[in-house]
Amino acid sequence: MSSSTHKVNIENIGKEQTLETRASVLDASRKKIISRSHALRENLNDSNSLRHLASKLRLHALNHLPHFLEEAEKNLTENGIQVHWASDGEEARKIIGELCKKADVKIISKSKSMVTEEIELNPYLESLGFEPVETDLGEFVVQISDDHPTHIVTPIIHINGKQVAQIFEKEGLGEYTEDPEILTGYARRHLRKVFREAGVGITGANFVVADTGRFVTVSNEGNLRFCANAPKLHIAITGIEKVVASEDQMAVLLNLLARSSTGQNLTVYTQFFSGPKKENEADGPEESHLIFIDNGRTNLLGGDYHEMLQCIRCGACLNVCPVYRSVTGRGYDSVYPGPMGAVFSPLLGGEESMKKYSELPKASSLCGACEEVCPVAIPIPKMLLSLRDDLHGKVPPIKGTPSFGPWSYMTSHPALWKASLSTGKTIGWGAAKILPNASLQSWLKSRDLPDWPKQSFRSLWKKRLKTVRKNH
Amino acid sequence: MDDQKTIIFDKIQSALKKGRHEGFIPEAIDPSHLPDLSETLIRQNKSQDPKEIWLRFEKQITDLGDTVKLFPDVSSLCNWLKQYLIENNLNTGVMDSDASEYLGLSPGEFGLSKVYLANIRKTLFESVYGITLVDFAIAETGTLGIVSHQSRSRLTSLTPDVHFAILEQSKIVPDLVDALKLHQKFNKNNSITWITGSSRTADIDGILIQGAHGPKKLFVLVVE
Repeated sequence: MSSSTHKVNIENIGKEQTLETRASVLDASRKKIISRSHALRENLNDSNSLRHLASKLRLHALNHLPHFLEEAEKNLTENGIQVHWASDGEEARKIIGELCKKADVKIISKSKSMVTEEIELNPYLESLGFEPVETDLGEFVVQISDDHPTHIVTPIIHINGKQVAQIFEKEGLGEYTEDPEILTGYARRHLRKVFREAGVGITGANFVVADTGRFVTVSNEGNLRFCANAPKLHIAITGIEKVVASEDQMAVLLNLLARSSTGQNLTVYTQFFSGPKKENEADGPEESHLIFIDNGRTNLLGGDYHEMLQCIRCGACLNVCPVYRSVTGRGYDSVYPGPMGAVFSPLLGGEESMKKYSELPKASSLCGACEEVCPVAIPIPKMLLSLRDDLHGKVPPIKGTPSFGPWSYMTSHPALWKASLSTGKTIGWGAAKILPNASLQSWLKSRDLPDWPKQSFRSLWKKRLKTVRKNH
Repeated sequence: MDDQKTIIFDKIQSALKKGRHEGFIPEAIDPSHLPDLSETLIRQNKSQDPKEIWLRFEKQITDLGDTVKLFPDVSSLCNWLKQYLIENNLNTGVMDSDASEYLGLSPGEFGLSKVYLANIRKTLFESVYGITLVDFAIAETGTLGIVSHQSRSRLTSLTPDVHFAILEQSKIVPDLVDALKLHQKFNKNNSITWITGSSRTADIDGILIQGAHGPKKLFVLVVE
């Protein structure tokens, strides 16, 4: 079977947005939201109250962050996990680079971690001469096709099976096939060698439990377990906001996370890591490290956006958002797309990010679906409004936006407004149609203006009032 | 390293202080005074009836696309296993040493199959099946709980294509709340892995494929 008979477009897969891309994203998003609703309804007595409890737990941890981070560090260290702190991406990369250099390795196995995307880890490791290999199936496809993930949970939501098959064939992983089982098999076979040979494994961590000194990961494929347990050195990196006060609180968070994300009760593997091989263990990595990174999270702490840090990265808000479904992750041009990305992206990187991502908070109809599906009840629309306020005056409006200045002035001065109404009644829309304002004209081009009413509401109301008063 | 920690903590402290002053966050309370975890809300499965617990557990495993079998005793389990390995041509396997002890199975010939102890990396990567003991299970979600141990490899339940998990029926607890209470009984020093089904992915076209990088098939073999 030659690939020429199955030509699908993968040439611009890293650059172009096509109808195919949008179809993939829409289909997958819908399916996940349906699964989510079903899972929450079928399995939880009261998922709504549970998520508000989850919100309370997350807020308690955030409101006392220094206390729980200290407790976590103490217990992690007691478990033999070496704890590091990185104020930003550059520091984090340095720490990881140094650890890998000391380990004297070539191949690094990586499991999916949005934080590592955030700090642009792979290019840095490659510049040092290492070979970092993404082992999550979706991230692997992204890596070998020189693309970027477009969803925080399902990285290749924008790519369909045929495209994956072409990519695999191009990279010599196996013959073109439309059977997803065979395609998965190609990746399994190829990556097994990586798991076996990698000297360092790098993963993220979904939660860090302060009272037991364990970090918790949730995954499905098994690659994370390989990355964390097979090599002699394991490095985990996570945001400072991921700390959880006590392990029994995990019942609440785990009951909500996978169900909100993919509709599963739990992901296949939920690991409570206590670090390296102990005396009473048969095996495990010789060294285990956990890096806590800030990288702008403190920008959100304690202010209007404090609650955004409750986020447990389920991706439900992406799946339900009409904007995300329309423009797909690619439209955001950020590591974090969708509603949560519209808040995080402008804020994590300071002034520069504010400018670069100033459009994101505006790209919302404030429908509130994101807040409805959030397992920790984050009021995202409220934050988008605050961001719009914060950005006002700091960044120029989007090119082509009609000027609302004159309109704003007119509608906030009642006498002027009334005058404009009677003028309008006299001369109709003719005036608007000849105004030499380019953006107004282009806006009018595809719109029919309504007929001017015979009587304004005000005069109608005045007449009514007169009649009512007369009859009393 | 201390330098970085100080930078971060300074930022955190000043952000929280400002937040409290401006009313974004409430006044500081004793951090160790954690929010109440109401039992009625967080418990999803109130039934303590062993029969119901078993039925729920069985259903969950089956819904996951995996297999669960109940045996009256260890020897009937071993007989079934031997037969299954023959019928399905599973030639080489690994087992944890505590599984070996529990089943009374010495490394070597097992019917027509060869089974080794899971303490050599090479054999782990070259085996088709793996046999492990399981410390506890959760009925609510069909989850197996494995605690890292002197007699076990972390990879036995991950590397081979088929995973045989041996569980005692009495070790099944109703829900996540109970499982996490059990965690307190184990040394916090030891890693704990929860396995809910065979490895899987839905990255390609959203189609669920069992057997991504971990086992393609999971057999939960339960002894009454």
